[in-house]
Amino acid sequence: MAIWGQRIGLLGDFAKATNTDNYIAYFLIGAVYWNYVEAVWGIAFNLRAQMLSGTLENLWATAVPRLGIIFAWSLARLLAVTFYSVIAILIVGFTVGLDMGANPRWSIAAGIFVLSLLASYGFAFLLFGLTLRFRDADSIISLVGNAAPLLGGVLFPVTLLPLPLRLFSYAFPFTWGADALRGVLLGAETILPLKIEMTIITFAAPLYLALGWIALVVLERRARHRGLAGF
Amino acid sequence: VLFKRELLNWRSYPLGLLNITVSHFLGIAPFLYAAKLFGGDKDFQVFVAVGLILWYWLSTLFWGVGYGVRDDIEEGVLESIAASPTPLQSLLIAKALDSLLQNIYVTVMMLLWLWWLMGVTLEAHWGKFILILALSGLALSGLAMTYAAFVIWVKQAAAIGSIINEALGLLSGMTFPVYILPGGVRLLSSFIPLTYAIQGARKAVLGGSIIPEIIALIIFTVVTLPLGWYLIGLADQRLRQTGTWGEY
Repeated sequence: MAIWGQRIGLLGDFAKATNTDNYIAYFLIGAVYWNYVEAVWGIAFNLRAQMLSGTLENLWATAVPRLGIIFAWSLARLLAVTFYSVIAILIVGFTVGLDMGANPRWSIAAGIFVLSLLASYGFAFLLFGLTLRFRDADSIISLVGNAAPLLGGVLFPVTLLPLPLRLFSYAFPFTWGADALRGVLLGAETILPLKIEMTIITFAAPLYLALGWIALVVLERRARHRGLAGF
Repeated sequence: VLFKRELLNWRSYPLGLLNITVSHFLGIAPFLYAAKLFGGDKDFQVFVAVGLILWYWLSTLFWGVGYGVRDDIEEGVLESIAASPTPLQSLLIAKALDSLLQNIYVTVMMLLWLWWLMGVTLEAHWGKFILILALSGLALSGLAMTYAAFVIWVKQAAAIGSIINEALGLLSGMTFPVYILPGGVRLLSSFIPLTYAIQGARKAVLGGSIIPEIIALIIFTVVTLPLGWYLIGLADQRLRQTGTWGEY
């Protein structure tokens, strides 16, 4: 779509809206970053698979701490997504060419990436809890998973969204993560000044982690009262 | 009865209905906003939206029919169906009908969301648009049945299914016209029914004769439906010979 847009002379509009004409890197950063966020969220799918195959009760009855289980599942997903992302970046590089510009600030980008991903774990804990609590959790996960790229502005700046959705999108840590990453790597226009965005991400990481964990503990307690079986 | 069973699923999992009411639009919206970044007029967004809606037709059929049979294997109900005089094809036809119904509902909802949230309206020649959707449903059902046979045969086919689904979308020009693809790839795209479904739907909305697309979709239907039917029969035969109904 972007290549076609460029061919028919619409790149100027893109550059005006984002402060960069590097649309390939702009979309790739958003997509790769989102893949990592989705990998973290994907632990809810692991949980669901265990529920469906009837092995969750056995797993829950072992001495392995929940955090250990979550960590193991997410690590496996993060490793897989790293592999896929490298392939995706190579394919883009070889087919349409990838230029990260003159001055990408990789170390700051790494910090933003790690902190915002930690904040995403908070949401993953919440989804994990909801999966335990509701029998058609697949729909909840799918709904949230589909809403997030829109609300998080994975492929576009969220300033394009209508105001009510925009306000909602500001509550997601990955909105700030994607925006700040494009800002430090490409010099793209950010929603707020970069320093403020980085401050938000720094504070959001422990806050979302704590809130997510509390939600997980509460939802799990309720699920145990009702019984984990039955979906 | 099998179709009724598919419909009863929606009653058992009401959040699923809420999910498809909203989720599919949410899935295409980021692409539409990305299209908005390129300015242009509304036609640019409409062009992209129509391609993505048609790709969802393929996706729903692919996962609903193609991979849907896998859900029955996992839940252990395929053995019960196999033990009855019901041919496996009936199960897949029920799933295809359910997926087509779902596609119609999702398309209507997507059009409403597009109008309400993004101010994009499709001023289509609705007769042509519906004809293309109906023919696309048939042509893509054949493809989905072929994939279902593959799923029954190899069991672990989710990753391949995902790649095929995405690749078909890309090669069919779901967010761009296929003429921008390199020559060899463009040739490949001409063997995919979704290419003609998308082109036909775009012409129904933006103008142009849809006769070539109708002819192409009829040809694909005539080829893919019997092929899918035959392959499902082969897969059924294999399951009965090897006794692997419950394995996955």
